[in-house]
Amino acid sequence: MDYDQLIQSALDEIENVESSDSLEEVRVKYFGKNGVITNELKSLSSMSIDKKKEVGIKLNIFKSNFFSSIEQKKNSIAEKEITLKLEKDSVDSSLPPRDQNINIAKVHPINQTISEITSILGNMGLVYEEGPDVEDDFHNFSALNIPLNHPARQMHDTFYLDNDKKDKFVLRTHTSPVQIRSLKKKKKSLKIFAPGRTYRCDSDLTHTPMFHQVEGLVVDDNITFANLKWFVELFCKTFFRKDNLKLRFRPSYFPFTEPSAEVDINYKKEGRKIILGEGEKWMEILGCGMVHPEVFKMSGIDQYNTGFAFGMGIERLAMLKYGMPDLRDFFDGDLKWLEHYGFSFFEETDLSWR
Amino acid sequence: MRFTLAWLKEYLNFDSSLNELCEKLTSIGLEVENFKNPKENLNKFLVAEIVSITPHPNADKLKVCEVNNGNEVLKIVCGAPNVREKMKSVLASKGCIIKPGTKEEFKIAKSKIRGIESFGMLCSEAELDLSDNSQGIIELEDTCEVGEKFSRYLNDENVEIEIAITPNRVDCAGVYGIARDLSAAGFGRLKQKKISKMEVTFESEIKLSNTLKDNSCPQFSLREIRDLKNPKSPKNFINRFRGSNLKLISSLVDITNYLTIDYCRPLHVFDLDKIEGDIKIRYSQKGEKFLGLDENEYVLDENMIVICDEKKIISLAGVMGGMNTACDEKTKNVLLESAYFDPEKIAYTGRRLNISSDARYRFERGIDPNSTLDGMELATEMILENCGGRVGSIIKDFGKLVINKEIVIDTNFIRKILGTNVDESTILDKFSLIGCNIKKSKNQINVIPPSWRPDIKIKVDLVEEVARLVGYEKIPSKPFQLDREFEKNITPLSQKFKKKIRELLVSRNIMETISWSFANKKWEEHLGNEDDIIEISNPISSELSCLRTNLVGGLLNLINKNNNKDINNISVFEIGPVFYGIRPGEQKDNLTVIRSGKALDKNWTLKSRDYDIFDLKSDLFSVLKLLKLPTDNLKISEEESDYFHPGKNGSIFLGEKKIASFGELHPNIAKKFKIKSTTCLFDLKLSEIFQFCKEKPLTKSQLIKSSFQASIRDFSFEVSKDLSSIDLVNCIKKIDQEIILDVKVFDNYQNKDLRAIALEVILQSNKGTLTENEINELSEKIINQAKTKFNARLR
Repeated sequence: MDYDQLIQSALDEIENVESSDSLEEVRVKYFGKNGVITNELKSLSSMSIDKKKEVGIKLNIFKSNFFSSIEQKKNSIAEKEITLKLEKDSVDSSLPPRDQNINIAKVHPINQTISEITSILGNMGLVYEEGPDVEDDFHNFSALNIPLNHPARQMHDTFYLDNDKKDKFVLRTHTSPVQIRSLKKKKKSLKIFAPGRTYRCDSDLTHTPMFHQVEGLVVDDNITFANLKWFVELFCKTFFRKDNLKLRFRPSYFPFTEPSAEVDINYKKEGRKIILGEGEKWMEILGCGMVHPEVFKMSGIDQYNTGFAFGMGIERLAMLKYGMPDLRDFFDGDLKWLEHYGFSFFEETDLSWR
Repeated sequence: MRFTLAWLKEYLNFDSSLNELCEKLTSIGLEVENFKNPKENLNKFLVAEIVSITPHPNADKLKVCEVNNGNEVLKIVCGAPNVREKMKSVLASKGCIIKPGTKEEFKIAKSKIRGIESFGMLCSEAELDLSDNSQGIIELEDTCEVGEKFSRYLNDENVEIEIAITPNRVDCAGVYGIARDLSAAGFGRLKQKKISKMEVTFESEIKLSNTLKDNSCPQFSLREIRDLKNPKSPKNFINRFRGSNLKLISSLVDITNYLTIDYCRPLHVFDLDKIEGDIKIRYSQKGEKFLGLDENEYVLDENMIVICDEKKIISLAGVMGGMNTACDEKTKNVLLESAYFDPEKIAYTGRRLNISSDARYRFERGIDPNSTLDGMELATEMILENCGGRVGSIIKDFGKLVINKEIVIDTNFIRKILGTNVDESTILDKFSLIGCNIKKSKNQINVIPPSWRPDIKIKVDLVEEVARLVGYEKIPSKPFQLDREFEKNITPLSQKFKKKIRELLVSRNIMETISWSFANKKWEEHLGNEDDIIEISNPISSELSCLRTNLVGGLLNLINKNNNKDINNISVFEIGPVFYGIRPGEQKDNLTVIRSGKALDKNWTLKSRDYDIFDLKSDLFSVLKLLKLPTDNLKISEEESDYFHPGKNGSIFLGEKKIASFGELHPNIAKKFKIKSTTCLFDLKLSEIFQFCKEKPLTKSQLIKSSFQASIRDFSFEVSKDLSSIDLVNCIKKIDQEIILDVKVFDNYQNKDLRAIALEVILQSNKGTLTENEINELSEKIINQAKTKFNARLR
């Protein structure tokens, strides 16, 4: 038998095979139970020792070549089959994703802004305090040095909850009542801020009947007007992220502070855009002052004390920082507006992640 | 308060520019809200003469004018009714800008009006922003020179300044007071107001009785002036009144109004011939009626100060005069009143009757009590000048005068509040500049504020004066030690939870909104809350007339509004207060999530479907899980709220307390809110659950893992239709809490005859791998319990 020829034709057969089935046929043909080589190996036993040795070596080499070729072919066929299968299995990956509205939801800009303020004032040592939306005459007015017939009451456009307008229960017109509630709780050193809803019976381009304020109160030994200026400047620069922001303090009047000030920040206008911290124009941003002695007295604090307080409109802060053009949109619930002006989670709230 | 520059210059000498003046006003606390200097904008506008007028061929109301601008004669089309030949007016020719910087701004160019070319425009006062008068073009004096700049003929009476007066600064509710304060702040020099005593020509016989014994009218004076005329006010008045936003009425009334604004001295003038008998000052009685000069009839309360003759009330003291004694063009004899009333009493009258007047504004803030007789003399002088007449003697009732009390202060106190070292000499200087009477001793300064500054009552008021006059900008910023207590909580727990919930819900693609704390009464009624409505006494509108008792109404309204804008698939939530009473603290925080429309809109990959209550239950449970509330053993029962679909709802209890309800909106309710799509919602009482929530400790508890293999067995039961699946699940869990890790419902099949429910039970022991026997034993127990307790049959 011409083993060399046999070997060559076996390897050629492997080479020409195209499917795993035919490859198996080739294997069976040579190494199956009745395979050509299987039978040859069986007949080895009848050969002479020398012959046996010579043929045995040849066949064994052949066997190992044969199987490594089979293995190689198997892999290449498998690869081809996968490629073929994948070719049939393709999709248009430019089709849209399954999720139709990938996270369009946003946090309301008011809560984003409150969160930023919380982060800044919290880092400046103030503690978040809460107060009720409905207030009584004492906390909203009298204790803040605004007695019943005080002209300042007229400026508040108060919502009344009891029909006879005796001012007994009102929707709080400012967050300042939280000053009284906090002072009553703690007599000595006190550092708080209180954001929340406030209400005035007024509705036009620049007023909504509900809006938000944040109140700040710092009471401690030796707190001065100079400290107030520093604190407010630091807050404004941090909040607006403007190192060059200029502040103008000018005398004003709030019954619960004396001396009182209104604070303006500088800006310029480029078309409709307002650029803060540049230019020579001024806009009002907050009211502040040294706590009036009457406020301490009404809160049950007899000994002489010093402190400062400030109050700001949160909508205004948000509009100046983020550019919403119209106040009235804030509570209108227009989903397009909420999506556009809202925030994915709380951005910028951690000072060092800005 | 609005006034003209000329008026201010009557009392203040200064060389500075208008801008500098405005800056100074703002810096001393008299914030300039507006100022208008028309001269700046009118440099190109010229005096022109109308040479001839011919009718416009194509328009009846228009005329074609030949207009001489001193250089050439131009053709101008004009529609003003008052245009006539030889008239001098103001010409805006090519390039002039009308109302620059406003919305109406436009630049004059050559134009064709109804087919006729026009080379400019003849202007009205309104077009030049000089007044609101748009009735015809400006008619200039004949002495104006043709071709001259029009601005040459404008004066300081055309420069208007409007300032905001804070409630404490009544002293600056008069032009003289503003001049006085500017001069005290070192801006210009005050020209003292000249007050001369008028010569009396007859003794008055009117008797005055003041019945107020409580000193609420400590000064009251009257004077007769007889045989006068009441013509229209002269020209200088007209210009000044226009620039100061005052209405011209008649000489007599204009004079009292003038002194109100000029010297902050409200006065009243009665027609003497309409007064019957003597004058009495008394308190009103409840129910008395009074017809005011504003033609409104007021029903008085008790204790309002009224001025009466023997028959009737003739004036609401300090607030408004009466119609029955009003002066008119026929008035010949008058009674002039100048008085001082207790500010609180005037505020009370004004507030109760809701009358705003220039007099009330000043009296309730406390005018200078020393100005009563000065005001009388000033008014007399002006009346004599403009109306003529004979002057009667002054009838008066003067009681104890309210004078500012002495304040004792020391320089250290001022430095301590301001945080800066102001010299003592500066302090003394400022006190005397504002008119204080000061006495300096070794350790203290005794200060008596001037009578026109009732706002200076205590030490800190003086501190503000020092700061104000030194300039707030001169006080340096000084840092102080900020607290940094690291263990202290900065934010209340409830706020932290609310922030976390916001983040979670937004990550679940639900939009956050903030809506009014107000509700429409109708919403409350739609939702079946008629009995809980909290009405606001003076609502902003009928749509927002109540305090909300829930968040649902507002959010459903939001869905409707967005539906109207073709936004139909909506997921939205609000966290906010709802109210159950009108007392402070009668409010709770709620969370409402609403999903409306399609959970999946038509798309290429999955079947489209509406939101259902299980979407909402997922949202709700993820919130509960976030708050570490046990979601496994919550009690869930049917909700009794009428606004849910009767077969698709549930409420959740924590112990005995209902904390949440969820469901599909009842189609009838949806209709009432005009919502067409399927809408599901849940309402979670945050305030109720926060008390059960604790803040996580920083260190996490240790994770314990079982090293033994878990086994899973599935069971399918045929069950009754009204089975509450959670009861079955909880019952199975209780069979062996150590080994049964979890029970999951993985199928729920229902047709009209049959309901089947399939459960996956996960078993694991931490003592060893469970044997086949142990598992079979437990399975038997499960099947038995299901059968005995729920009549469930294994399929």
